[in-house]
Amino acid sequence: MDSIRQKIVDAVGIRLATITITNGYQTDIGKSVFEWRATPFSPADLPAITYREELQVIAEQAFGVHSVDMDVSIDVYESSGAQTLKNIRMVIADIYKAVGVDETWGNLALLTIPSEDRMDIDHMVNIIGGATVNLKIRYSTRKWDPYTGI
Amino acid sequence: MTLETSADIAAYFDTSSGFAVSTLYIGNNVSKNIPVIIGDTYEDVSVGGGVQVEGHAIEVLVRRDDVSTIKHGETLTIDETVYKVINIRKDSERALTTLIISED
Repeated sequence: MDSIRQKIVDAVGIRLATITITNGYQTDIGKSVFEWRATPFSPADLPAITYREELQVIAEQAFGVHSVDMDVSIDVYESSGAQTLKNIRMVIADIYKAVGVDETWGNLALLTIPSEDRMDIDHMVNIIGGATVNLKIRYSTRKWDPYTGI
Repeated sequence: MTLETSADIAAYFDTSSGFAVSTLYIGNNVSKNIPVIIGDTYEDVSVGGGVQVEGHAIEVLVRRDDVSTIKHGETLTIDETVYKVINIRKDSERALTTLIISED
């Protein structure tokens, strides 16, 4: 049995993979999605996105409920020459649009809150750009029972 | 103190027996072949995310007199790839200039 956390993270990956031009988005970034990737990208691998959940803040509510705020970071990587920055902005917009399809991730969460996004760029033999989109996903479980959502 | 003699530099930049290759330099009202010594350095690139990207920087060493008026955005063609000059470092000690070049 998977925990609610695991189910939400799985849902995030599945949702990000739907970001294709065929599905009505501006980019095909959904074709290159990685969970918690640790190995470096080659520029030839790009564009790509990775996603990871790092911090969970858990608060005990009344009536035996744990309320959880899970921070999810979605990282964007691009190397498209002069189009790099524009493409990054398009991917950021696509990510927000994809989250908005169902911010409860199939009724696993109460809601999703956009926190911030940030862009960066480096210019070596190629322009390599990136961005991070931070989200907060709020869900609740029974007290000391991460497998049972409420 | 001069680090190398002019004869040393001439030997380094000899395209037949030294370290240099002939490269097409196109600048403002300039189009000529010049000898350059190419260095390619690996660097991890971090652009904010949790994963690094394998990057590399290409530096070319040229004789200052060959590129005395060089500016950012002018080009060098190496192995049929056109690179723009994005950084110019003049070395007054050795009458040499180091150029950082980019495909983008």
